[in-house]
Amino acid sequence: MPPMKLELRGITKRFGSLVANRDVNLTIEPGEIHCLLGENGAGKSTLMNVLFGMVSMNEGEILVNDERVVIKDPKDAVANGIGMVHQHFMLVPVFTVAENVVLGAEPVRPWPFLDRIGAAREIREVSRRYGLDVDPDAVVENLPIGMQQRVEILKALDRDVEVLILDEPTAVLTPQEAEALFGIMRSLTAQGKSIVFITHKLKEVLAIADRITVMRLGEVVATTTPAETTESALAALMVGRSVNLVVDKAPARPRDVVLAVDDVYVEDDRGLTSVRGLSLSVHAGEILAIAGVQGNGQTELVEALTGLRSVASGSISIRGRNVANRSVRSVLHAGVGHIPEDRQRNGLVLTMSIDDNLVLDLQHDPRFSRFGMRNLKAIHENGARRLEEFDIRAANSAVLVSTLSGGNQQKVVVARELSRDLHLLICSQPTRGLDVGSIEYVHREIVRNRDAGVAVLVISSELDEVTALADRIAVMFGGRLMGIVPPSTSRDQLGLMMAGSDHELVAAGAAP
Amino acid sequence: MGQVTDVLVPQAPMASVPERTVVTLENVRAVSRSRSFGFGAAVIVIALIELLKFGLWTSGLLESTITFDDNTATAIPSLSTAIPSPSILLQVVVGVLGGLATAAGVMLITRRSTRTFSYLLVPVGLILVAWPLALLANLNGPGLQQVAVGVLGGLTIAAGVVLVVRRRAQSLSVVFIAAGAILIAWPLALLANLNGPGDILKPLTLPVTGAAWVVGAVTLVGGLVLVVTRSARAAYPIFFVAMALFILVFLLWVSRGSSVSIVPQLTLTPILASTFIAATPLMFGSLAGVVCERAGVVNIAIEGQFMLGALGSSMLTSYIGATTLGFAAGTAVAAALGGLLGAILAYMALHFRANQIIVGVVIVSFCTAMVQFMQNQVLNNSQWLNMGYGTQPIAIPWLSRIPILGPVVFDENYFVYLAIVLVAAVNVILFRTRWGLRIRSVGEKPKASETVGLNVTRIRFLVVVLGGMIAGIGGAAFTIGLGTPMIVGITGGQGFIALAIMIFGRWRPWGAFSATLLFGFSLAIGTQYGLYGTQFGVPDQLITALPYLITIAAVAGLVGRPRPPAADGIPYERE
Repeated sequence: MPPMKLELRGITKRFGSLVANRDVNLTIEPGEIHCLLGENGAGKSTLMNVLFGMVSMNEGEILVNDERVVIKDPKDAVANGIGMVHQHFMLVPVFTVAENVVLGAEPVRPWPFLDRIGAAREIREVSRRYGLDVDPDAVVENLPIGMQQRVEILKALDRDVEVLILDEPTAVLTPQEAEALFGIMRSLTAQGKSIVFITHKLKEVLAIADRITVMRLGEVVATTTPAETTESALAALMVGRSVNLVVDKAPARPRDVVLAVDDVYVEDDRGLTSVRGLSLSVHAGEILAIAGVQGNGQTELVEALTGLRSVASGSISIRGRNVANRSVRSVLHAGVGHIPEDRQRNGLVLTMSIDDNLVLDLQHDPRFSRFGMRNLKAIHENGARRLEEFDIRAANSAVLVSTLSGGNQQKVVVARELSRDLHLLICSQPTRGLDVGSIEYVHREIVRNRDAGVAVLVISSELDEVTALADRIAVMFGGRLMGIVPPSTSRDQLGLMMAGSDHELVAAGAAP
Repeated sequence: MGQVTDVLVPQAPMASVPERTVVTLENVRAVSRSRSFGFGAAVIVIALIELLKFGLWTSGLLESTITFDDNTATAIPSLSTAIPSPSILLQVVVGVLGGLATAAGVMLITRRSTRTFSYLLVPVGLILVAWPLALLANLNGPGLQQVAVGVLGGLTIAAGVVLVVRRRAQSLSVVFIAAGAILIAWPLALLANLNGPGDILKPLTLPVTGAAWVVGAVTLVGGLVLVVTRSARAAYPIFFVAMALFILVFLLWVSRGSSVSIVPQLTLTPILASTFIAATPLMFGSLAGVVCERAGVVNIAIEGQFMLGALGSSMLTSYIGATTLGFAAGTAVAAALGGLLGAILAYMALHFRANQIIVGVVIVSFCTAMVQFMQNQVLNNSQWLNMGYGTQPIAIPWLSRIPILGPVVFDENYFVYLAIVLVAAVNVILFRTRWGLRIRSVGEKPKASETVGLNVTRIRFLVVVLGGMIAGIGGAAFTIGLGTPMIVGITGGQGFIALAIMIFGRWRPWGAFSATLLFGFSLAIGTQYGLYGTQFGVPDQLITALPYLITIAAVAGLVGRPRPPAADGIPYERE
């Protein structure tokens, strides 16, 4: 297939009353890396899902080399030379690389028997041509994330696509892995392929893009090039007003140790050790941020700290009291607030009202229940007060949490957790999927609590968030702590620590 | 706050770069190793029971006699009639074909072909070549023939071993090795003159205590090997062999001293035969479960599909008559009814995204009521629609005359053969064809299937209908398979047990098949030997309840932690 020009004209997509894309025009030239930049909810992924046939559009047309094409499902998209690497990989974990790549277009010899050897040979050929080194016989679930991403790219290339859509590909990668991905992207464009790169990370856009299209609230607000723009200009375009990219905070004034973790081992659901001998301490009045690529034991560590998961060995104490393997309620009583990483699954009961969600942790509190009967009046008054206090945008506090936007849902979680007397606040991915306004709000609340003398532990896979909030940065890799460094440490050094190397660099970072 | 500097010192040991904790093969093996330990411990417990209960506490040297069957079928055929002699022309053609097949097989094997049938070509080709040659050489004398058969057996085993070594077609290699072993054992048995008077295999008399000691010791070694090496590969085979040996010793112990007591002699072949009879519907049921759940749909309506299959096949066969046409039509209508119920389940589950378990239970309730209604309103008034015709066993020539194994496996009604063929076919389809890859992808991660252009709903629908048809045929095995008239409650909840068997068999066709045999065996023991359970110091009911206890153990995941298809039972929603 020759290099191809792709054009989207007047795409409009509505979900009920919500307009996800409004009259979007976009042209992808052959051989370019086109960045699609926008906040979460700006409609980037919807637009690309329309293009890939995962979502049907209400209005508009798609042109390939100036000819109108109809794309009803992913099959049509691939037939028209459009491939997509989804943010959540579309790979079958128990299949081999080869099986995943050929699925849906399997070579057979004789019909209908799978030609495994032929498939493996084909994959080796394609991966050599584009410099993507992958073993076709490896089982996908055993591969590291970066490698799985290559399999996804390979899957698209094996189908001879000319335009490759990458949806937030760097979200799960270390800075070094992301750099390797950029190398692959450049080699692809050198061979005439074009790439649509969806992201909300400004630094990456400026590093890799040939052209940049910025989306806000479902509309295209600007198309530009890295040479013509700057980080703050792009941020302003994304949000629609000028944004403060750094978090305002005074230097920390750490006091006594609140949380002391000593040589803790934790196992995950499969019984594999995912936290290995981790020790750290968090002081009152400081923010310790744990950086690291997802899946390096952070989730299990937080669950162990909050009593949700048992500790295999080691001790966890809060203000000198041991809380390892205690009930969640006793951990909460020790003054711990917890903003979980998945607010919809672990932070809220979506089908309950704001009122009820705000007292989930205080059901047994005499203020809200007597002799097992709930005091509905007090619960509602509490809800109405928090609504006001935390600026939760909702008609009233009796509406279902599921009807709120992501940012307001997170505010409900924050409101509930900050309404108790805290000594320790644990925030796991506190701003994931939030718009810039909500991010600013959550960051401000975290800093306010620190200044009020709360010890804060932030766990985030967003390096920008870690460096913006932290007074000290701990890096986790493979369930171990790779070291604790000051926030002034360079991204490169943090990236190397996130990838599990190297003690000299860690030492260099720790040196005064 | 002087601590700030000391916390800067990294806690991890600095000299080594730690490995990642993503799921590596090494990690997975570490987990299975601890499970192997559990298996080993269980095997050791079994060994101790054998040694202490059967071996130690039995006073005196009691003997137990194993007879094999009460008819002439099991005698070891002599080889003198074994070589038929067709016309010269046919002999030449057969010989040439055999030579070509052998040559092709050898060529393919030396080129390391991936096609497993090349391994089959060699022994088959050799047999074909040997046949006319044997006639030419006038080998119909006993001695040479026996040697020839034995050599052929050795070759077959060798082909099987080659398969094992090259890690290809593991299931086929088992067949090869078993067939080879039989071919070697056959002339040896003739040499040893195992045929008794009246063309029955001589009964085998064994000392109970001695047998218990031997088996116990072997089992103990197996258990210790597992505990020490914690080999994941060996865990399942050792466990199953230990179970089988335990049951054998148990039977010996129960029937000890049988010549003087009312306890009948231990007659092996009928127990094994009733194992197959009891297991037949379950073979279909568990296979239906495997098929549906591999595509991500929980088919809990198997019990209902059993019921309607049993009812429909009984009525139609009674209407047409006990002819081949009658049985074929009965089987077909059972498949159709099962498929129809499958279609209803699939439609509710896929188009309305109803909870699959609830829809399944509703279908079972409907079928229960339906059977009750038909019984009261139709069958009770029209006996001619419920004659209880049964299919006759079909003896497969030659194979059915293999001692012990022959009458059990190769002299059954056609449902057993159909089940085995279906299991083999489903296994090949699931793991060797493009359809299988697609079905499994839909059961593991439907969204991935969607993005490569597969129609998840259509694949699931077809598979559930297919599974329903298989289960429907299993229903027919209750009535026209066994020759019993339709009665309310004939299925006895076996449709649910089939799902437990499926889990026990780890969602694999052959796994489910093997587990079915284990269940069938315990059912057979329960019905035939439940009465004598008191001798073991356990109530009869406990032995009769054995299959259900195994069910609970299987579902609770005591036998290894099974891993279901990832999207099993989860409705798929397109955005």
